[in-house]
Amino acid sequence: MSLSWPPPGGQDRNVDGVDESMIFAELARPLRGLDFTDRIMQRWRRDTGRLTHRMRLGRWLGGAIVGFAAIAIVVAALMVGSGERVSGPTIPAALRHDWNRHGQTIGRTIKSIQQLSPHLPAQPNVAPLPGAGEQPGPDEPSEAKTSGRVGQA
Amino acid sequence: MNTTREHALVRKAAGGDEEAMEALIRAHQDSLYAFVLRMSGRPETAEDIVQEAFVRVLKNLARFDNRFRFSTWLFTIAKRLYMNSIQKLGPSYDTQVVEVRSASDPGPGLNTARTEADRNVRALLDTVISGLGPQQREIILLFHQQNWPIAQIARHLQIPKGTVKSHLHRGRKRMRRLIQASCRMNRQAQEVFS
Repeated sequence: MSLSWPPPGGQDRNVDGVDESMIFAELARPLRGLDFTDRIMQRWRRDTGRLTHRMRLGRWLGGAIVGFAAIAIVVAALMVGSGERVSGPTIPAALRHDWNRHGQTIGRTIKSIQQLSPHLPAQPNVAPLPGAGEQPGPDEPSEAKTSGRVGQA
Repeated sequence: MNTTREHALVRKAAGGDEEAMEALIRAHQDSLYAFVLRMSGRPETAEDIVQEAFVRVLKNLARFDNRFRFSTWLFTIAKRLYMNSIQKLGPSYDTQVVEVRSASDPGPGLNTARTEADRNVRALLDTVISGLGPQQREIILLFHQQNWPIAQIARHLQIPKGTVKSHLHRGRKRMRRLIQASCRMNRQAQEVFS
């Protein structure tokens, strides 16, 4: 297989008046006149500038996150180490306090309602206690006497 | 540019030397643009790809492997970008635009007949190149336009040397057929109009 052009023998060199070597000469002819240098350098500067800015921002954000995490860890460690509790009411304590207060308020309200409501009359169908209407005998001490005695005692 | 000087420039450029970067761009921009223009057939696409390829290369100069040629690396990146652009835009070849762009500066010493002949050759070349398949076109361009040796093309495309030679052979054969067909059509057209 021949890799040189035109092929040896020259039988294919002229095809209907066109020299094929002219085609390959035209193909090998460099295309000049366009200079991309400035455009490429401008784009490179812009892209690398943007990249540097993005990297700087990323580094700053990363540093901030690490710093914040470190501070949080140190504070937590100090609190655990010293055994200190958070000052002020905790949420469960506040809930308990509220519950008690509301309970007292409701209790007071119920008591007020009970005091203000009319007393019910004595039940008529209740049988009197045995001996409730009899006079006490001379030997039996009266209730007043007994209570007086008890009071004196 | 020889390999030693090229590697020295790459080292300097990787260290942030802008003059070295500009030297690398100037050394390779014409060949890369010619290659991508012939591959894509679209001057705007070729310009975009060349710029993007250089920017990517400049950003990743630290990763350059000294065992390879700088041009091989640059062309590999440009080819990837070209493949991406094909997926986006679809493969089409605007031969007229390529012809106009390459003929933009015919030179002061050329007479009209010579310019006309050159234009015909350019038009025929565009037709022939656009008639090749993507891989054949790439191999023909790398061998005949960029003067890359077979071994370098094989390394670049990651195929055996024998396959490169076979593609070259078939590519030339196809080009010859396309030239003959084009000339036949021209002759018939001349006969019709005369």
